[in-house]
Amino acid sequence: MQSERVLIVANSVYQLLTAVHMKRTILENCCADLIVTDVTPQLKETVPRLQNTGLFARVLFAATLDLSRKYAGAKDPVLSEGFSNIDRIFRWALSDELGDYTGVYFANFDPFVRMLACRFYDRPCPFYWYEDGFSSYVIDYLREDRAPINRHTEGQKIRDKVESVLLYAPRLAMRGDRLPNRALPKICREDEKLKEILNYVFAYKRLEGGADFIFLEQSFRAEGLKNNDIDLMRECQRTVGAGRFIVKPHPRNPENVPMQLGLTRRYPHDAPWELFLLNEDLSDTTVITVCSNGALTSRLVFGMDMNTVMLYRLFQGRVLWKEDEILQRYLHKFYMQFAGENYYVPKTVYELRSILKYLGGM
Amino acid sequence: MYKSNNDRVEKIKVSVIIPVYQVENYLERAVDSVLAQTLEEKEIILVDDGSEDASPQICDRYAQEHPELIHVIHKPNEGLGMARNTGLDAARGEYVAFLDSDDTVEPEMYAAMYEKAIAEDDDIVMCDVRILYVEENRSSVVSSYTREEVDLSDYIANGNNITYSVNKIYRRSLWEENRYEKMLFEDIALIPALITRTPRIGYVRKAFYNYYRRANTISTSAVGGMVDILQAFRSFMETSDPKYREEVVYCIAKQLYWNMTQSRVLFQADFIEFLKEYKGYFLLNSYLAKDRTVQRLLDFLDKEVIPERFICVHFGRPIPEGYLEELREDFPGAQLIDADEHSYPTEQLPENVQKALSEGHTTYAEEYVALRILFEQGGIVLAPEYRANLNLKRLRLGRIFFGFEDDEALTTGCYGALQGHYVIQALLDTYGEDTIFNKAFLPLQDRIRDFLILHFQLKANGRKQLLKKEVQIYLPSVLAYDMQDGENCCRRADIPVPEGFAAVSERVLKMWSDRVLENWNLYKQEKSTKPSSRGNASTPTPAAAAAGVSRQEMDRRIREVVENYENSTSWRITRPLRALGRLFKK
Repeated sequence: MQSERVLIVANSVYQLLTAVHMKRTILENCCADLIVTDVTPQLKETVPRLQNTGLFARVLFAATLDLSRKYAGAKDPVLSEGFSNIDRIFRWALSDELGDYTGVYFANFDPFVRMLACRFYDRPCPFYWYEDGFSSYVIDYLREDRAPINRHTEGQKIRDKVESVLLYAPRLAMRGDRLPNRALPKICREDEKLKEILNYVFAYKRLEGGADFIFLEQSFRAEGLKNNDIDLMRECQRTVGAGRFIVKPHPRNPENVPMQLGLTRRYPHDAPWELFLLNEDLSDTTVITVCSNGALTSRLVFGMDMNTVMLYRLFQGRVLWKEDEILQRYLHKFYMQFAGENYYVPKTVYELRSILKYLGGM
Repeated sequence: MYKSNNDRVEKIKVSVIIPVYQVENYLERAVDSVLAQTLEEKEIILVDDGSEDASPQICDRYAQEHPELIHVIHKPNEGLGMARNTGLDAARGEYVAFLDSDDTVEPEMYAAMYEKAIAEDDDIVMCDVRILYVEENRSSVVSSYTREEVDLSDYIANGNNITYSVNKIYRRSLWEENRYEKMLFEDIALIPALITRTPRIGYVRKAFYNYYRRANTISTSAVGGMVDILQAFRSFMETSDPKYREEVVYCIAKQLYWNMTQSRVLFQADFIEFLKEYKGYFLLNSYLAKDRTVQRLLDFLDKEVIPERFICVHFGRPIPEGYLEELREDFPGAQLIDADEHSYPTEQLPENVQKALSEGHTTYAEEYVALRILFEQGGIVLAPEYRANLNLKRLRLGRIFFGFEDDEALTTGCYGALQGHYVIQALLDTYGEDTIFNKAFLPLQDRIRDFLILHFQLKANGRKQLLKKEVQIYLPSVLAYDMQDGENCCRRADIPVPEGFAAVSERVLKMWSDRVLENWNLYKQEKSTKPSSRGNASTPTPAAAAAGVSRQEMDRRIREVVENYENSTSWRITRPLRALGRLFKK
């Protein structure tokens, strides 16, 4: 199997965690190159440490954020110009030359990955779409009416290349794109070696000054969406008591509004959420969120059954997702089939109060 | 037989029976009106029904003064009907008559009616009735029939005063097999049916009987025992001569209609149940088919009413003192389901309810059982800590009702529903779901509120709401606290307070005072608005618009508040002062 050489692309901490996990499990016997991108700026500093782990043959850095900005929503002429200059673009964006691969693993259908698909279109190199949280379960990214790039001759070539989708919980998939779903093994929290690697890669330090109730903020403000998430935070804080409640701000939101409003003290840690889940004893911790993927990660990735309160039924405001209805169905399916004993979806603010009190609130 | 002044024993033509109970201020007037009768051959039987005022002494004085005419019987209190029966046992006259001790009769009454009876060999002779409205200082005459010759069928169907005992004289032999029942409406139960069985009836078209009608008498005030009227109607229906069934049913229909829509609206639910009991009779009645007014009664047949069945669930504790007594007083005909921990075998309860019981969450189990009985049988859940009053009868006209306990919470002290109601079914179903309500054994009031928010858009604001034309929600003053606004149907009674005081939760008190203030401000706003700007305003005020209230809704609420104030006693009393103030201003 060592003759196989694969490429993995990771845009986020979540994807990087899965990339490391895949390399240690389903790609254990493959030689693998890893590309981390600037979509999540902090990934750049992980490159040397990733290299030091010896897991990957090479670790490349790619500046793909500008590519996404330029091409993700672009019209035909701009797209044609981009796809006709792939080699040139790659030389500017990548920290090293690409090799020949027998498979490519990616998590987002961004312009960079589509260009990769064009680059390897005529070669025996299937693409595997690996999970990026619940969007991988609910969104048909390649549907033609979603974006011009999906209708562009080159942009849609990736459709022919994707062989399957790798998901932690394939039975929850409901994208409707007919791509076959395959299971990714769950990450074992007791896997000390993995923990050691990831802690090293992300230079993880133990969390101090946490709280019993952690509210995962989402990027609604960054998207300019009016909503009631602050009211929900206030309700939670009142119910559980200020000292036991903390808001983990979303990195994309320009300001820490919850902190400015006195709803939370400063979140004491900038370590990736997944690392936090992997390292800390969370038996007495409750995660609260509107519908952040982070709250589902513990179940999807680690198979944990931690106290989770999803507030999407109480959320008022436009939702980011066009596939709102599918997202709702997914969340419902998740709740019905996957959620476990400690997963709560309050339907009224009164029920929320009762749940928080039951989980140890005042 | 009686002794006249010259000791000659003569035949007694009419025995006048006067039941006496706590009527010291009226009794002399009544007795004097009989003594003044032109009919000499009479006797007066005063039946003192255990009076505790000066009435017994007044009776005795009359007997002393008129030993040849007046006979007094003292007996323990048993009610009007029993007192009349006692009088009947003692009566010796050829005919008997009844006089209520607060009414009077005209001097010619018994002579004229006796003459008529003898002339026509009548068993019963009746006259007209003059009603004197005491507080209003006016009177009116109610004719018993349109012609002197009585056509019995027509009289039963279209006559008046048929249920009265007092505007008639009766051949004494009629009473050998008839007696009054012990109930509030003994007249209705007996007299009209007796008439159907008595072919020879005479009529003197004169208003001989003076009926003094006052407020706060048994016939004008609402007490729980009034449901007796239905038993009386039942007796009338069942004991009448079957050949007059059509007329009897129509006669009852008219009385029912009057009672349901005018005089005893509070008991409407009870009347509807009666109507349904004899549905076939009413639907097929030929008189009703022609009477467009009274046939509106038939519309009530489609209306469902919550049964007068109280469900009291008390696990491991007795029903508190006073609960049953107060219930019996206002709801004497109600069924009580008294369910303790042995009423439902534990194994028949859902798993989580069993678990709740084993872990000591007794209230959780109690509330489940109450809900289940409510679903199976319909009725009203009345927790041991709560006391209902007569007003609760009104709520039976809904299909399902709940009330706020404060501005957010609903009370489970008192709520009701029809048998098998789907909302109760759905609530029961939630006991099998994996929810916080079952995990944390949350109180039923939380479950109901959240259910209604989700499925019926309940607004948790403490205000009255009708949800999807099905679920009625009442103010805290209706089912939790008596705020003395005349609306209360049920109140908490588990907090001991001195006589004349009431315990009210802080939240309710605040909510109440906020509402009073809000109403007052609305009122002031309306009073200060010029009429010209009031009429053509089609857009809501900025404040109202911000609150999501339409102009029409605002107008309606303002009108309501203004009417409340202007109809209030204090507003009326101070009207002259305000007029003077305006005069001085000018």
